[in-house]
Amino acid sequence: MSVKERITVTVDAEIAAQIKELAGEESTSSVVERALREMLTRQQTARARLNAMLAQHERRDPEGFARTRDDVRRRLGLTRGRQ
Amino acid sequence: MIGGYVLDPSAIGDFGREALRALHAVHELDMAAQAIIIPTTAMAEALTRLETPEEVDRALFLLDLGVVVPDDLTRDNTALVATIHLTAKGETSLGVTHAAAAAQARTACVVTCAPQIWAAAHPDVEVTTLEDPPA
Repeated sequence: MSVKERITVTVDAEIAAQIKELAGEESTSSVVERALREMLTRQQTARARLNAMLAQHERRDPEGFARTRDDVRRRLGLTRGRQ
Repeated sequence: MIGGYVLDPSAIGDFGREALRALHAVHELDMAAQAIIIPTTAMAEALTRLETPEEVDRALFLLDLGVVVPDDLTRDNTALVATIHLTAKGETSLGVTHAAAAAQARTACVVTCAPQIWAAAHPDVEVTTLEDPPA
């Protein structure tokens, strides 16, 4: 069983009422946790899909891949913060 | 300081067509934890120019990325979008104008694959152009 941690969130009164209505007999924490899990899964799936597309391009043309990546980094003036 | 990067219709369309430069731009911004702002009218405009369901699906999945912040046309920003549209110095579109308004409101930089539109219509907006590097 996973360890639970208490957090405090503030939402619009309208959203709070909808969450409570949606929860019914269930706890509001369960409803919120399920919604957050779905959102996180969707985000992880999207990132994995993007990585898969990039990997396909890299296999097809490694040199062009690296050249374009370096060019885009330069244009955006980025310092990478998350790996 | 830049408060994120706004994708215009051309950049969103490029992503939908799986152009490598657009894929890299989104990936690099994600890795650098930079907000990617997507005006919903720019998304709609991009979708009208895509040719296959796969391209449309790919463009829409941008909205699932955690780093993406959708910018809706609301009561708060509609007047600004209209004003920017009316004062454009050249031919523009609602999606481009909404991108300009989002960039202005958030002190963000526009990412585009159509710099000529920005130079002609909105020369005062900071843009970064995505181009294919020479081979």
